[in-house]
Amino acid sequence: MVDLGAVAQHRMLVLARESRGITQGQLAEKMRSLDGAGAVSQGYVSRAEAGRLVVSGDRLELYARAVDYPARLLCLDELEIGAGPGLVHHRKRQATSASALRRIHALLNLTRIQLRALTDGLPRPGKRGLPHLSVDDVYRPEDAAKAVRATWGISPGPLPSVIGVLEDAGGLVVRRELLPPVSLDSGTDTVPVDAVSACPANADPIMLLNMGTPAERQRFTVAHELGHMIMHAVPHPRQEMQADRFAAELLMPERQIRGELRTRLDITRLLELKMRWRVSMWALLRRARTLGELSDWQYRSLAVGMSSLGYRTSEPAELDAETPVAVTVLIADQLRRGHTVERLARAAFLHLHEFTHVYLDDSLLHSDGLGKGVLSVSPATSGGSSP
Amino acid sequence: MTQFTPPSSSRPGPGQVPEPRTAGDPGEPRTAVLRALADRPAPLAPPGAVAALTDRFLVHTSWGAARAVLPLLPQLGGVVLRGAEAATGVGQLHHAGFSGVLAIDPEGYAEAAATAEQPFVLPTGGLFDVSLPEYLQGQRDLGATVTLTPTGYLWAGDSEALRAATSLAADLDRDDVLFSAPLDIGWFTDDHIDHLIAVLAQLSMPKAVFLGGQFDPLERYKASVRNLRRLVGEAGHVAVLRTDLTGFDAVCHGAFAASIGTGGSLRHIIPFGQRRQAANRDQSPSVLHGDLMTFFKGTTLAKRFANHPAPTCNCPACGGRALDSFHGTDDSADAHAHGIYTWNLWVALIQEQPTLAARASWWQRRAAEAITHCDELNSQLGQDGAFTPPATLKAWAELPPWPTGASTPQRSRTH
Repeated sequence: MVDLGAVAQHRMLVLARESRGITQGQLAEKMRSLDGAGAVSQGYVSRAEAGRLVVSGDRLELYARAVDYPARLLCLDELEIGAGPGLVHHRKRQATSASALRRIHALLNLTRIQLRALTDGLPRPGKRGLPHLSVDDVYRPEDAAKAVRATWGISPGPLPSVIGVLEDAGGLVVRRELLPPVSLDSGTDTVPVDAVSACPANADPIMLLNMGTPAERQRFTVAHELGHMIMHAVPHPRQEMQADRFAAELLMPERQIRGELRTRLDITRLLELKMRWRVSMWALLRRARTLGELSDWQYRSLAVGMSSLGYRTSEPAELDAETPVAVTVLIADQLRRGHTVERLARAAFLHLHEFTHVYLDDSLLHSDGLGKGVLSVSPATSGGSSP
Repeated sequence: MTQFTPPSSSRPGPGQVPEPRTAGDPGEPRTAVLRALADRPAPLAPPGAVAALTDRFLVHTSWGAARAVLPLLPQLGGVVLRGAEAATGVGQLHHAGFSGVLAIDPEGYAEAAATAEQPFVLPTGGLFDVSLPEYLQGQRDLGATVTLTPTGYLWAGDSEALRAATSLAADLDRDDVLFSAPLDIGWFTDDHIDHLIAVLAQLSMPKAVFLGGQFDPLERYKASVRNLRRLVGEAGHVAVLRTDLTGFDAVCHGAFAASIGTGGSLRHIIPFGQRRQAANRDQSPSVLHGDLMTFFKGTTLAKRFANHPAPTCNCPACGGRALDSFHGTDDSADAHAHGIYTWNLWVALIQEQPTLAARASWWQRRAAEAITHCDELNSQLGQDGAFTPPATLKAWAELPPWPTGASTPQRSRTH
């Protein structure tokens, strides 16, 4: 039952609806079908989201059922991230509709709320934090990437895990269904959002990865977003290009890869290098041109050859996608401290079924480390900090 | 939490990167710089002894070739000598009272690639190591008017090596030095040009740019002609050495000097570790066809004009000689002298222009006329495609004659 005195916060109503990807009219219709009375109009939803009327009591309960969130979420008074420029970064958004972007922003905000609750009370030792480096024509994005590698002691050569680098810095990565992915190298006009990231003040950096993004692109995407987090506290007109350059240097350091790109660079060689460096053949192709190892003509010839083989839609030798672990470890830690899944779901302002879907991966669902499947853990009666 | 501490020194150590700069330091707007340059009557003179090179076109050659060709030539703007006998040649010319500028190309780029640890290639193997200042003083002691740093080859994007070299050069306390920048042509793509300009602009010392790549390096990337123009206009006191007619394009767009090679191998540099590639390895010299603004092998001209009378040249070296008559090594000196006479006429013509922008327009018209002449010549010969305008010549004809200062077009790509 909803607290009779509880009142919805209008921005939270917006975030909740947009996170579900529905319009005000669709929400009103859903509320009418749940209520059966037919009293809710799109105009009502509009006024509620504008803060021009109070949503409480039964109407709040109805609202919550329609957006499938606990009513408590709708009453949160939260400072929204992404309201100002430069705080949220996407890869890419040129071809993304405004409504899809609003959904992604809403998901990011709600994920931040969920993760804050899930990490509450947990010590997070050893996290090195993300540096903030300003780049320009002299201090380049490549230099920022070199500095990250040098300062964090990353060995020369292929990066074992770029998600690991971000998580070691305190970043939290969650895979969500943002948008359906499209084919590789399809150009800036048709590329959807692969990921979205933010560095909220006084909170852990977070990144939402689009589920289903090809593994070939995933590592570059994460490195690209890491570049944004490090370099773009202030927006820059060339920030997308800068983030690409950061990612290219982080994943394919000039000093180590130049010699490997110099030897007989053909499609077979690109495939070999893809398996070693775990980036797409397209990324390697562009890296070779950037480092002067391919001329315009050689680049175009290889690109045409790869296109004719269908590599724009699917490359050979699929890579294994990296899996985020930090959030899973945090939840496991909370469970070990005696919290139940139901309690964690409540803390995260999610219904149990959604919490389970989003946050409990197979390793937790079938963990023997907890003595039994976590879904059957009994409600804790005491102990542990409150998440 | 790990302390994220970038190097505090402005000079990066080996494997280090420089200290991040705060954003928002754009300097003088590009458009204003280019507008001021456009209205100048001549390139801006560098400070010190290097000012002697201002608005000069030098001959880049070996002492062996110079011995043969210099007696055939009138007074020259100067000579840059390369190779094992360069020191001997500079010494002899100096003692003989040569009135032009004398310089030695140390060709460090042919010995090693520059690295952050060793950006310069200095002599080793003697009793004592030679320092960079000592090495440069050695050039002056031989009689060189100015000196060139022995910089190693700079691979595209190897900024650590570039910055290490400029940082050490900045510490030199002399005004007779040109910082050699043997740049792989990959530097002239849109990926690197802004950085390259920014780093070289920080070095107040005059810069001597060499273009690295096989054949005509500028043909390797579509953006390279446009970006070379940007470099000479924006990086401050840039000369382009060991080049071809690109030297004219450069001086028309703000370079303070250029040196043009006598032979094909002396009109660009080869990426370190590579062997020179050539489309035609016969022994005929390269011959400048002035109306086409292109160098051809002597045998190529002979084939093209096999069934038609070849154009003749009335320069003092040729005296009415046909351009298809340079067949072997014995013709090399004459061919080189012909080329130098031909382009020396253009030097006078561009220096007659009232401003650099007018020079650039003149150069563009000249290139467009050469392309038109190419079509006319093919028509006369009855051979479609007998002569094809090189991509670089087309760029000179088709690009806006003077840069606008608009930002480098760049777009993000998906990987």
